[in-house]
Amino acid sequence: MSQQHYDDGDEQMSTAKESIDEGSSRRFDRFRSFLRDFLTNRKGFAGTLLLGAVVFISVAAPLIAPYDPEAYGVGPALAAPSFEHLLGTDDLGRDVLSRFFYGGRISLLVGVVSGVVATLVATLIGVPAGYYRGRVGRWITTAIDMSLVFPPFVLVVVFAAYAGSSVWNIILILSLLSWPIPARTIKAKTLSVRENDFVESTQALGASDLRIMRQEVLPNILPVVFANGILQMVYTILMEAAVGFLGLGDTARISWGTMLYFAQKQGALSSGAWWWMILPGFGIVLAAFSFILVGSALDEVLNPRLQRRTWGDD
Amino acid sequence: MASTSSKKAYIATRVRNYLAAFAAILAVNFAIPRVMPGDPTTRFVGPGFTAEARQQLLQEFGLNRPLWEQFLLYLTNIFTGDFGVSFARYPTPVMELIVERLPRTLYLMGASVTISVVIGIPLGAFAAWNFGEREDLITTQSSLFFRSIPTFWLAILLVFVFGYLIPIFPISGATGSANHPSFIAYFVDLTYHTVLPVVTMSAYFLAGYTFLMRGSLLDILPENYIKIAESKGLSERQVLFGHAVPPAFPPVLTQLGFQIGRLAGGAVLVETVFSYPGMGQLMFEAVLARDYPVIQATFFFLAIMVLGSMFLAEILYTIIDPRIGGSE
Repeated sequence: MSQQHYDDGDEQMSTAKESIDEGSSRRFDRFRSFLRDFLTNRKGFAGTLLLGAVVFISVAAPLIAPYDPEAYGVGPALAAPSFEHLLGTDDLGRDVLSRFFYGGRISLLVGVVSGVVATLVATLIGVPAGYYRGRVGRWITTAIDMSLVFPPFVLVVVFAAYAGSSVWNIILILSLLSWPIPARTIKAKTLSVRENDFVESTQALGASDLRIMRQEVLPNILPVVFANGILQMVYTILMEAAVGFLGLGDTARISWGTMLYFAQKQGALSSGAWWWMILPGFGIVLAAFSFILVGSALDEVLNPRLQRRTWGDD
Repeated sequence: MASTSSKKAYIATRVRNYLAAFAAILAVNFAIPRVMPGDPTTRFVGPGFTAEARQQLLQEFGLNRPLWEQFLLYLTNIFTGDFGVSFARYPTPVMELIVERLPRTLYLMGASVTISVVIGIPLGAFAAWNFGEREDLITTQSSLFFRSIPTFWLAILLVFVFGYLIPIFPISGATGSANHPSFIAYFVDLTYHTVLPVVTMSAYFLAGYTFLMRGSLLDILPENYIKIAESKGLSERQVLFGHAVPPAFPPVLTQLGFQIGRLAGGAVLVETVFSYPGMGQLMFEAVLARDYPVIQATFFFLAIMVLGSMFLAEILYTIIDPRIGGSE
């Protein structure tokens, strides 16, 4: 109720200043009301807090890590949690907590960058697939469907075998392989936007296809693209962790996945060193869960009820 | 009459697309070892091979001949089931390894999909029916949480709990003994050994299907015919399972088809942690040993499995979705 009044007040103010900067003030209002909806959404709030925590430990790792994460023998090997080493040490006497703080950096880097690139590719392919009727649309759709038969993680493993797997190789592979599912979602959304009157009237005015896609279609599908991109990062974070766990990642860099690889390889569980296995896994869950919460909250706020219409479009 | 012919046309288009996808798999599988950096002949000839064996393999794969001839030879080899010889288990033919492993992975994936669907669909329906209430919140939030747990980490936790704390399920292998008196005894043994791997794989997908089914049903519930069914005095259960679930199921099935690719990736991880001798583990071992013929063949068969499952899902979809080609 009170929100309604608030909106009305803003509306009046912007009418008063209309001649000065109507556009930017409208946009600002819309952004503010979006932010309010997002943060009052239970998932949005919890997700933002968790994500903030993950970003904080990754960025502030050098400041908050009690030890040098790479230094051997800062404590006895495989020491249980104690006051000196809050989360124990690994087989080489390195501090697990310090390594945990640094480990989030690679996860976030790979997850975010390849999520963004995959979403860009998905948009570049999905929009024309939904926009063009007839042969062109059908051809692009067939290409998307065909890409779905290549199991992404299996391909990542294959590429790692042939090409090796530096962090940038993994980002490249994840970006190139995880676009087909979001491309289908974006295509479906484009199809529904395309049916709108304003698109048809712009066409009647003789605007070019490229212009219509950029100026009419894209702004309208942006909410779907955005929410999808965040959810895509959940998948890329989990894939990066899995590649690391198999020992196919860059083992010279600390990441939660490679920490688990070494723990598993050295038999952490059979020697009872649970602290070495639990925390990195917990970090991955935390990162993935915060992205999934933020993504689905965005989805609820930006795309009320339409998101669910994104399948079965043939 | 008209409806059956449009159904036929629809199926014809889909079949054509699947054939195209099959061709794409063949092409990519041919290209991968040849476009990657390094000497391609090392992908077919193992390091410890005698000069004679090397010559024979070069001949067999036509590696000293033009690319188009290599491609023809590659096609001939695939259609006659000749995938070369494993480097790591020289001189075992790759096909022999595949035939042994493929059914185990199919079983693992089939059981996981079945469990995910059988539990996930009613759970999602239950959540949607109680939209916005506590049951719904608990269901959706726990499925989001399960969706964020890395498959391999869940596998490790299960190994820890059931291998060391409460040892009631086997934590590795596919069977306890090599010889079984009957197929049923083998099946029971296999099922007992796959309890933990199947639980691991199901958790991720179960959460996904719950969420999908909930979303799909939430689209159906506001429709008029649901209100009509309610106003006719049908019980909640009759409305939900008689009128709302059937039209909500096909979109979930489509999505299920797309996600099978991820299932194959899950198999690589789960089989590795549980030392389950299936295709995924075979592939991972081959990657570590740079056993290129095995890598190529496992990739090929995993992709074919994904394609086959998508096709199956689509056939089911066509059968149960009344919208395609109209009913009767």
